[in-house]
Amino acid sequence: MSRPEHGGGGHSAVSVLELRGVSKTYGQEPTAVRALAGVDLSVRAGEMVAVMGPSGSGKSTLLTIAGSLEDPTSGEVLVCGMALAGMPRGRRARLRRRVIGYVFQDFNLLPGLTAAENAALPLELDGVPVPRARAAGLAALEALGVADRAGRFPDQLSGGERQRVAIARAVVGDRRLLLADEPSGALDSVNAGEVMHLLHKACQRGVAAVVVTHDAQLAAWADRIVLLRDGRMTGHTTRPPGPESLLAGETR
Amino acid sequence: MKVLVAARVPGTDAHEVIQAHRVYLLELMQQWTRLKEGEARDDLGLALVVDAELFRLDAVVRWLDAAEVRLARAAAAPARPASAPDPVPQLRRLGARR
Repeated sequence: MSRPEHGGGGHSAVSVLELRGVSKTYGQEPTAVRALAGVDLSVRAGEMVAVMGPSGSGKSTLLTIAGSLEDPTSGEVLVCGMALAGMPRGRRARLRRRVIGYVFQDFNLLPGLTAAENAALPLELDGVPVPRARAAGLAALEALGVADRAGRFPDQLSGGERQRVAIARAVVGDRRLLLADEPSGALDSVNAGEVMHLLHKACQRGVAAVVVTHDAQLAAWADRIVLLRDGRMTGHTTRPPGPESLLAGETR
Repeated sequence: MKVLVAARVPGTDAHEVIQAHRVYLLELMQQWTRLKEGEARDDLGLALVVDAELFRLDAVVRWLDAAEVRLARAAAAPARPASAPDPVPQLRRLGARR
């Protein structure tokens, strides 16, 4: 079955992110806390995966490990086919800067920089000449519909606009993997839906995304929803049929 | 109702029932969201209907979450001694006359 409008259509079948048997334990026995236990997850280019679960289920740990901000206790993490284990620190940092974009609940924009400067920052930090980085930052803002706010500082933007700038910063410069932790948690439901729509659109352009959320309405924007509980994957949605089945009154 | 039956029938794993129902609801929500992303973007009436359905399904998912926690707590709590069954509360139907 093809799914052109569901993300992933026409993009590479190669996994951008792959977790193989990933476990994470904090502390030592007998007080050790197992945050993740043997998690397998594969996310292809153009695919948006939502990870849902209650507080303490391991969602955020999964994201920090996927983003190479933390190492798993056991298991393997591959980003764009490259295993993170044993990768030198410098190379890993470069991979984080060039391939992975992060979106946080509280935006994490630098208050002293304008929207355009914030969006261009990852490229400038990576050594891209400033004019080129700024042009790419502006293009990212344009794609997210906030180019007219380019010269404004974060405190001059609404919550929805700030998150759009944060998404622009996360996708600027052809990032391949987007990791979002409750990206619309601080927004009202309409703006939250809009943010998820923009993330989904980014995926349709070929980005792979993992979005952590406890909100079913936001998770429903994803192509696949993975359920996490006590550090284990307890279920996932299979690809649903298109919306036409709803209008036709099809049930199962 | 399914959850209630599963919780009462010996040998049935209520958590499995909850999980299967949750996944089904999430898949429905994905379909409604695709509609919201497509046709409903230019059709206010349809957008309102889709929103209503999404909020309704979301409420059921939340109820399943709450039911799961309640069942887990009940399973962890020490069993009550077998005694007379709890009195059934007398519910007065709204508008009923004696």
